Amino acid sequence: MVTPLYFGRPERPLFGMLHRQHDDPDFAPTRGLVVAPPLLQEGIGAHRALWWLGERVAPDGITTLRFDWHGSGDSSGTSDQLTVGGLVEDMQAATDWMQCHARVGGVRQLALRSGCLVLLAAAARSTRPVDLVLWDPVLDGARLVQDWRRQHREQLAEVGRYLTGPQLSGPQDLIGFDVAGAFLDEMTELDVGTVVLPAGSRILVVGWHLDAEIDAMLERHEIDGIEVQQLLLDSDDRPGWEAPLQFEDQAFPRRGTSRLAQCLGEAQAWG
Amino acid sequence: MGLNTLAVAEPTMTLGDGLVETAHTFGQGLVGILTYPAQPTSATALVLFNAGLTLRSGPFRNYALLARHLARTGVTVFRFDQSGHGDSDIANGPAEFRKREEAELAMQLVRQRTGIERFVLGGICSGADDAFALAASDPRVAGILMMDGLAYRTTGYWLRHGMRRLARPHRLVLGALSRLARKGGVQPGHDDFRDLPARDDASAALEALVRRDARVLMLYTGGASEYFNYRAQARACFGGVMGSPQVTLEYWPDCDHTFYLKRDRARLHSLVASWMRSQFIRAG
Repeated sequence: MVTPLYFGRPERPLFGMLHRQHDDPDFAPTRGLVVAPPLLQEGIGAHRALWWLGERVAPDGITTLRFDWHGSGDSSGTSDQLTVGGLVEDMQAATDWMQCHARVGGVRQLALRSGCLVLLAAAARSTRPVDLVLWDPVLDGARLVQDWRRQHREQLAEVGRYLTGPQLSGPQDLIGFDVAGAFLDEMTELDVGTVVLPAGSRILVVGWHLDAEIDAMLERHEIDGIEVQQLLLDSDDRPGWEAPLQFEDQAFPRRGTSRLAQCLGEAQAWG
Repeated sequence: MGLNTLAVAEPTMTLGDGLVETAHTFGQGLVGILTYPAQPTSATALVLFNAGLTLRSGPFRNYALLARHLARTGVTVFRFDQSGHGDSDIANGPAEFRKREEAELAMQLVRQRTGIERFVLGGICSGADDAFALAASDPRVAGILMMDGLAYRTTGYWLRHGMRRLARPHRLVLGALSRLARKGGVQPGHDDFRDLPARDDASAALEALVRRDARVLMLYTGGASEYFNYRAQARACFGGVMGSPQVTLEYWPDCDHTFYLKRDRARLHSLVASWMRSQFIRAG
């Protein structure tokens, strides 16, 4: 079952959705999962897949909190208020809520795509060990911003979006959202491939293919004594994140999501 | 299902300008957000249906932004995920019956929380189609907001369509590339995704709405060019009812189907606010 809720500071309320096995107030799940969605359009496209993940792991006793970043979805704020510091704060607020209110024994944090940038930035500031799941991660903020700008040009001029030909966008228009240049500058500076995590942390990287950049990150963490795992999804349902003609499609990799849910359900170590 | 199926829990968020949003679960695992104005000026609430498969905050979050914009003008808005969309559970049963039941529950919820008993139903694309289909038989529906809603191709449409294709042959190449990108084969189009009534039935339903003085805002964008590409097509489709004072028609050929640019979202918000104000302002 799902339960909507709001959390966070009163001046920055965030919308969240809690998935749990049932509504028994005496039920104390041992495992909590906080899910950080991708930023901007990918967050909309991947919404149902993350809903499904929460539903799939609930019968395994995993309570999942999905949430909307400030300035996105049903949370407060507007997209032009996005900042890296604010996103990190949101990640922390969601994790704090789960630890304080959901009565779980341990919390694992999962992020998809660009959500991984924020999750790793937040984890680097943690003083306690973290247990991270990075799904098809984006690790390089500069490349992400380049991709967003490329996608924006494609949407304006190349995919036939406009009947009357290419349109002029405003200074803050970016892939369908109103985004401040200062945020893009911050994101460009964000490279989480080299962050140092607290001792005792764990990372599970999940993807359809694991490239050299991810390998290098995992190798660095292993040298630092971080426990590292990989889950290679062998299904052929990776969403076409980069394909301009699939820009607004729903990204619902059903088999990949099922495999991830199964992996989470079977996990012995948690939080 | 009746009122007793509505959940009691009501998480609440206070936004700037005195706006309040409450999150609801209702019916069989449906989820929705009710946006309350600080000072209601309208006794008619807007209920938004999903745009295609997109969740209740809308394409590029446009529904959430529209709801907050309208609430600042005094209008109450409820947007929810129909079953199988967004955060709502999957439901069984015939789509038409299910959608009607879910809309009924949504209106009950708004009435229970606000006392409002008159509604405008609306949405983009399939959301507009749902609004149209559900409005005809429900006297509580005082209006419909159709953004790229139903229309039918006419001779005038095909003439313009052909001329445009000849003038822009690269679009033919783009279409072929699109099919390749989606791994070939014949891809479903507008007609495959939307369950539209026959044209004469649609005209009759529109006339019936006007007869009971329901108000209709039909906005077509350039993004609907697969089936709508000139302003007068609406009259060619639906007939003389388009000349009724109850019906407002807008055609924005320079705008896309999902309001990608901020300027287009802003003019949509302005249009809808202005229309709601002119049609549904509280008397006295």
